[in-house]
Amino acid sequence: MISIPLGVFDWSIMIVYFAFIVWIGFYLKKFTKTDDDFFLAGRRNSMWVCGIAFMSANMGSMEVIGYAGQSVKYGLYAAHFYLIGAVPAMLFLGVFMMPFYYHSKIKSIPGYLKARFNESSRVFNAGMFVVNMILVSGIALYLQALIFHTFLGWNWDLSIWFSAIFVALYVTLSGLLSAMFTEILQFFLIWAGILILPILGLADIGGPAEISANLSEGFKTLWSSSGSPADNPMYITWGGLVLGLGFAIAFGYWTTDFLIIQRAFSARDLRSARMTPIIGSYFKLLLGAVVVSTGMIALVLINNPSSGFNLLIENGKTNYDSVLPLLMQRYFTPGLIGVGVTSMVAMFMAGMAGNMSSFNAVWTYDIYHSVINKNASPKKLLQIGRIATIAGIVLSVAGAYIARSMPTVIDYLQAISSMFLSPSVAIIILGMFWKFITPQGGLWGMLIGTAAAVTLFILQELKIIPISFVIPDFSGVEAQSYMAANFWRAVWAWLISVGIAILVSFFTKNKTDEELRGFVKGLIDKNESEQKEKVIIYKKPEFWAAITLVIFIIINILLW
Amino acid sequence: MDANKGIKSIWFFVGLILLSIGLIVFAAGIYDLINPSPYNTRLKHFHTNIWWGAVIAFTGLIYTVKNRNKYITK
Repeated sequence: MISIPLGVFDWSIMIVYFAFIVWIGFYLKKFTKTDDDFFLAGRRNSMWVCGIAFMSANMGSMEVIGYAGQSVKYGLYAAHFYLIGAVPAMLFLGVFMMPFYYHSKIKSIPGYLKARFNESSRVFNAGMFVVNMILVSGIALYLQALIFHTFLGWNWDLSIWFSAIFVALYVTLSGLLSAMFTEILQFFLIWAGILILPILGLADIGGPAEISANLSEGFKTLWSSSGSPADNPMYITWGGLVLGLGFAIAFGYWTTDFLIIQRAFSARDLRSARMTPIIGSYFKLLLGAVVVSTGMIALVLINNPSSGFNLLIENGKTNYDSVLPLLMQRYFTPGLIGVGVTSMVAMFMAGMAGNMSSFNAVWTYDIYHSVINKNASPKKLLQIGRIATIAGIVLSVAGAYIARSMPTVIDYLQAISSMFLSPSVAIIILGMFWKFITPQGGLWGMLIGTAAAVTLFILQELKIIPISFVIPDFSGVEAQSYMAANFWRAVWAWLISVGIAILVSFFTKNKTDEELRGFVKGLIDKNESEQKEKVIIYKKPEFWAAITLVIFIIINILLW
Repeated sequence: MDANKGIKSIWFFVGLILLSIGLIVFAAGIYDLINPSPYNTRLKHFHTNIWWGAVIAFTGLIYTVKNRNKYITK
């Protein structure tokens, strides 16, 4: 355990932050009168509010602290999580998928599955989402408490309960509205805490040229060392990166994970909803630059023994998540330490509030209202949403204690998400763009795809099959790559879901065109197309998406 | 804050929190200049807390002033 010294100024910053969050929760409560206000923030938000909240919900502690650690482990390969693992899927969501989601006035992603397929698809998907959310929240809560305990010396139980109760308080008060408001505040605080780190780091090591001079080829390129798994630190080929990370996992997360898409649903109009992930993509690129460069600066420092910098080693294992706190300890003076610690707290709060606001919406609409009480009044739904938030937090705390007892929780995280999200994205995209897919086809595709992914994971964990079983480009590399296995398992789950959905659709009855209107490409309302034509070019989401795409291509070529 | 006018703009709150935190960081930097902290922080001579605190506070001031009368309505 190491200790970051907190002085009066640093504590003052944390107190100001907590006071603001509670004040905003109470201030917004008087504007939260209906279930629409609570679950969709009243559909009144601008594209900037939605875009920043969208990104903030993604900027949890795992995405920032975790990926800074991954940059030390994998070098520039960690940037793939911000490039091919994010940008194409975010743009696809904004340009092609959002009109279907927004126009259908659904309140959740399972809601879309009900409208496009049937009630069973909705309940199955909602059940998977709820389980996934509790597991992910539990692990996030555990990691956050671990950081407080390791770097600030705070009591473990106190860290977990204080964080959980605090999020429960402000999400229960006004649901998505306060979650989004605080996410935006947290977004700015996170930047205030992390933006300065690579600047100081570069000044310390002597400039960007030092990164290139001190790292081997596999650690400082994106694609040129991806021909063989033996040539790069992630032990993966370009095929695994493109199909697994870029397609199955990224599209699963960015286009169907209700946690982030819920922010776009709160937009005041379709254009704002479509711009939400596109605005998010610019911040995602900036975040990738900051996080990955910080990790690579740490790598240069570690490779230079005279720097005196080393990661934390616990029980003989390197703690990669210690990169960010240790660099803050190295460079941050009084006051800045407060901003740094507050930004780490904000990362957790933003992620956790996102988890809880999406959990309460899916539980209330897609399980409670759909299965338990079909005649519930809007007032009752609002009440259930608040109760669900508290129940979700309590379950997450239980999940955190379970995660504490596991040896390597972070390894399971990508695996959990890939198993639950990949079959959903396969069916949603297939159903959205091909009206041939029947309700039974969609349901069975999702069921068998998920079952196949879970079975492969369990067999791998029980060591009945080797990790290399799911990796087609595994060419005898001794080191076992969990990451590559996760990517490829997601690809197989995707393919199985698609195959089963198509096969079952040949033999089962489909809905009529009228029933599918608004939910499938080619069956969108005429008013919608007319509305699209009136917008001038620089206000079109396609225009801004094209600019991100060009930046994305240039970065990939420059760092090839 | 009048409930009838709608919700106060989020950018106003962003401004307020950045202004408050920026001022504390700036004050910490000035105090550190007078009474240097005993910790062996790298690049201490950059006095990052002074200028970074000023940047955060200035950003917060712009947001607060520009959005003090803006409200979100349905």
